[in-house]
Amino acid sequence: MKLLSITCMILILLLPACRKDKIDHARISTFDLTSSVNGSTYQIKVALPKHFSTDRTYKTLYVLDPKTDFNLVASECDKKSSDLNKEEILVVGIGGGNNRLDDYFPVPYKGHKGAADKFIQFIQQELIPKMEKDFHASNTRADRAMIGHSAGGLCVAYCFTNYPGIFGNYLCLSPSLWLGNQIVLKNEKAHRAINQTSTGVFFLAAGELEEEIMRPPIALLDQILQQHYNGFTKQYHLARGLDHLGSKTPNIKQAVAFYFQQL
Amino acid sequence: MRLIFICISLLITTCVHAQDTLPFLEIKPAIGVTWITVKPTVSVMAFHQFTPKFSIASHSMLSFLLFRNFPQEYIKTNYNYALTQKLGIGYSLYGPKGKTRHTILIMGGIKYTAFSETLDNPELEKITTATHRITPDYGLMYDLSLGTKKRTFDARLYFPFYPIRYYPLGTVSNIGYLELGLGFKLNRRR
Repeated sequence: MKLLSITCMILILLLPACRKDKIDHARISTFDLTSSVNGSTYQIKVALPKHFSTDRTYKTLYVLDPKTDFNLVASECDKKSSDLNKEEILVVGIGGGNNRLDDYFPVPYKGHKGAADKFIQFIQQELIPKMEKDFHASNTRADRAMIGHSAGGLCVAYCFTNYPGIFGNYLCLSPSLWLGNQIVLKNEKAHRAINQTSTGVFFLAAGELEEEIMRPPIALLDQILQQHYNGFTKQYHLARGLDHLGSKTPNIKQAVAFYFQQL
Repeated sequence: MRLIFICISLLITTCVHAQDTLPFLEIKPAIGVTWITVKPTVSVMAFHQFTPKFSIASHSMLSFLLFRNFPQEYIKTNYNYALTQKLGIGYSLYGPKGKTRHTILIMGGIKYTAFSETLDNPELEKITTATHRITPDYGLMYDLSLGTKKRTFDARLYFPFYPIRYYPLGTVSNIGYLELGLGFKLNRRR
């Protein structure tokens, strides 16, 4: 009886955490895509717009780490599209393939390959053309966005510095910019003269309580964006009182909201 | 916020009830370690039982970064520490012959976190960030007390629920701490 009471008390305390991101599964299409670039097979998940039509093309948001973030991103896109009366978009989750750190890290680190170049080439040369052909994704840079958190955020930042022609919109959450002695920031500096003439949207976010190695490189990226990228619509959001993982959900919501405000 | 309100209300109720009973105070200093990020802790708990089963407690703790968990060549930590103060109510169960006491406490309070870091990579601009933030701190604490004499051995395990809105993902990197120490019974029940 005592044990039951204690268990009930703990369950009551945890009730606020029991929320589910609602997305109509009938609108989700999944397929496998084997890459000829790196030989890996990716599980692709596509959330179609509520009023999907083959008569038009759609802006597309590519989601890294879809296993944990796809449903949240897709449901937030539904919500923001409806709340802000904006056009609907395609949400594409890029899952499976290699270990996430192999695919997202641009340089080797602690046994991880650092194969971001091949992963991004797969997106550019194989996934995007398939999305345009089979799902009516728009074929312009300005209509493509990418969202990622942590190592995924680093991959988003790496696309921004090294592959600026693919995406026009970057939703970069708590990026692991410390990696490889800040290699992505050094890349930014090396490519700045060319990249800063482009236009787009850049949402950068972190958790205020992300201690040890996370905050200074992110703050430096924000400073660089403010000083050198006038063609970009930018926002830096620091989730108050939250750490690396605690800030993930609120920052995803902020990022999607900011992206839809720019549509 | 709701949880803190509930905790404080329960605490006030139990304190009023406790006025009819004899005081029985234990001071429990301890040292320990947080799990992620790994930091040493120094804490003291004041523990008052007003019945053999029910108790109230105050827990004060300092944690600080003693060594880098993720050493990086160009990022240094200038300072990194946290102070927490929590109050709570507990329910105790006893082992054979009363030599062990297991207490589950619902704790609520505040945590002050301060840290500053500098990125000083010669190939990039130098930048320093600093954070000073007070956040809620609430959760469940398990307290094991061994011994029946004036001094006891004490072990505490704490599982925070903040930020409960993003539980469990939000608390994974703040998963709690383990503390070991002694308990001193200052004022025995007559």
